[in-house]
Amino acid sequence: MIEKIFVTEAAAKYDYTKEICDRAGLEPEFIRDDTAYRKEVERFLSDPVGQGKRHLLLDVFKGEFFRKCPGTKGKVCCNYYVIDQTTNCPFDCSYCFLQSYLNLRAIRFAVNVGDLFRELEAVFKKHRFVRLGTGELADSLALEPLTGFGSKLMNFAVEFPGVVLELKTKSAYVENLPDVHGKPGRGVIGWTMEPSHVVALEERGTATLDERLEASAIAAEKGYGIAFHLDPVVFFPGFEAAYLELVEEMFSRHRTLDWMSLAGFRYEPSLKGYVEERFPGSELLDGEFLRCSDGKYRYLFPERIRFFRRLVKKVKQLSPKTPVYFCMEDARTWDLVMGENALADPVLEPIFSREGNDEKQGM
Amino acid sequence: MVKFFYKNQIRTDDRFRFHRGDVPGNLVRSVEREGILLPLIAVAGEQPLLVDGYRRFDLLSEGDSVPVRQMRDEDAAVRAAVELNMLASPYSEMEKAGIVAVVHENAWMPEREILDKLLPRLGLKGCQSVLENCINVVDGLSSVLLNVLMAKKAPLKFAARLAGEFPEEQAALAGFFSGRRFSLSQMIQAYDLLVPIRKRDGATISVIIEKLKETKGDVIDALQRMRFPKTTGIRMKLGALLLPYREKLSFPPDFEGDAFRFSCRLKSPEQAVDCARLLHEISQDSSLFRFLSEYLDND
Ligand code: SF4
Repeated sequence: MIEKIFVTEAAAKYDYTKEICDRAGLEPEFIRDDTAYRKEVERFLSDPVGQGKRHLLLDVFKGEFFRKCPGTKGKVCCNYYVIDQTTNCPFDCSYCFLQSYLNLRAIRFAVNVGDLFRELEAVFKKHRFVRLGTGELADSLALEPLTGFGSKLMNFAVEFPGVVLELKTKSAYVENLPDVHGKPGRGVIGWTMEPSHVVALEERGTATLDERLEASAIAAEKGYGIAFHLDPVVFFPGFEAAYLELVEEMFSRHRTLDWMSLAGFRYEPSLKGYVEERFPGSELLDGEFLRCSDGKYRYLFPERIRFFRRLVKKVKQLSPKTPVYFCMEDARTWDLVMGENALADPVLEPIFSREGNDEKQGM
Repeated sequence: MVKFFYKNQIRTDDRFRFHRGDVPGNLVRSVEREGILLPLIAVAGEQPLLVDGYRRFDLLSEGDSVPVRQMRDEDAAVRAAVELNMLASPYSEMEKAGIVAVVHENAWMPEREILDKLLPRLGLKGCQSVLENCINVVDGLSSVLLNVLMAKKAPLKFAARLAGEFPEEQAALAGFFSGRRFSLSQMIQAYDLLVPIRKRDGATISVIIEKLKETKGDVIDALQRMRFPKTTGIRMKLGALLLPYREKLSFPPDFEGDAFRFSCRLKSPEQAVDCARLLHEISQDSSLFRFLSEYLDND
């Protein structure tokens, strides 16, 4: 998956850099910094997005790693915090917004994890409850065999009560994750789930659906909470039956999930060119879309509502205690699908009621 | 060094014909009236090889004498031509692609220099994918479609997409674009609609275009209807339902969020009474509410 490792001057002195290069069995190329990568490497790539995903750039990140998930204007926010330690991902999904979002094509991995842990410790001590993850600008476990970062972070985070750390992935790399039974914090492994048809067409390099389900069973045995994300829900001929069947499969493995999120496929206009150019067999843009008030394209509102209703009904039947929430949908969608006051449902308390900036009294 | 030559003393080579498409009228008039003022650029020799100025050269008569700036070799002549043209009249992206491809094909510059110097000099991003797009556009486009795109100053990315089409599809597109006298944005819009329709229907572009001949009205609208049949259906239904309340009752264009919006401007108390009557009428309009419950599957 990773064919070349580049090490910046700043990262060269870290032991972690050597550890990763040794595990990868690759001789690193030393470069001054990320600008040098852009000038000397990236611009000579004929498919910078695809080839960049096979380049790992070990670097040092000087800013803050921890931030609130930005959400989307006008959409209901789920109070999630994110850690930006890795940006970009070796997998290659047609719908991935990173294609048009990132300005560096290599996978940038910050090796100064000591700084990250110091920053997190201060945050965890200050807050009563924090739900956070690393999967906003990267897949949390895609590089696990090379970096072991997911395990390091999990080992650290679960020692803090009130911390819920989610590692979101489309891989099956859970074998080496630590056992978290009896820890004060909570470890959750979240999988993006798609019918096999979508996995095969739109998610290059990821684990198959069966492998993800299998991995979720292993993670549960190690004491992890399990989350599934039906995000993005892609409309294709026969999608309704495929997603309903998928939900059945999910709940045949796990009676209750820590949470489950739903989101229809949506895209910024800038993504279209990448899909057309890089994924000629993709069915992603075949549906009917309308430009919405936030500038993104979404499937027709009534179609989304109709399908989400069926999906949520099915989940409620199979697992009434699983909190189901929408990612990137507005309050009206919530009302129409879940019924009015759905946001006040106690089942959703772990997602919405305990805010990360809910500071401990007297501190 | 600038020297005068007769037209028939100058050699030509089609590799250097960077400009395609029609010659602008003002250039024709200027050459007719004044002859050639700005020297042509050529590789030095007894019979200089013309590198820059083909359109003006073609307008000359056999016996005309013209000023020629003579350069050491092809490489120097191309560089001088690029510099000059960038100053005189900036190239379109398609013309730039032509220059880059010809420089690359003839190895007048090493690839690295093309990326480092030529592309940025032409205002293009100095990266491999742009170089490849330039080459693909020149190699992959049929001359007919190339001319259509040149004439409309199509952007490189759009031209590169079309260059990937099979020759029959390119021929159909060239005929469609020029036959309908499309502007550049209409071409892009039409192509963006044609591609998914072709995929969905398992048809060819020429078959779709053939079908369009039967439709009346704006051809882009017709393509929109073909591409988005459900959206079109909803819009039409809505249009009919809202007709009696035109300008008072509207529906958000993206169908998101609130269902209907009612708006009116009140200038007098009498108007308020009228509006109240209208609102009452709307509330009694069963067809509207039937539509809403069907639309949102509201039980
Ligand atoms: S796994 Fe996630 S981050 Fe990686 S390519 Fe797919 S969508 Fe993007």
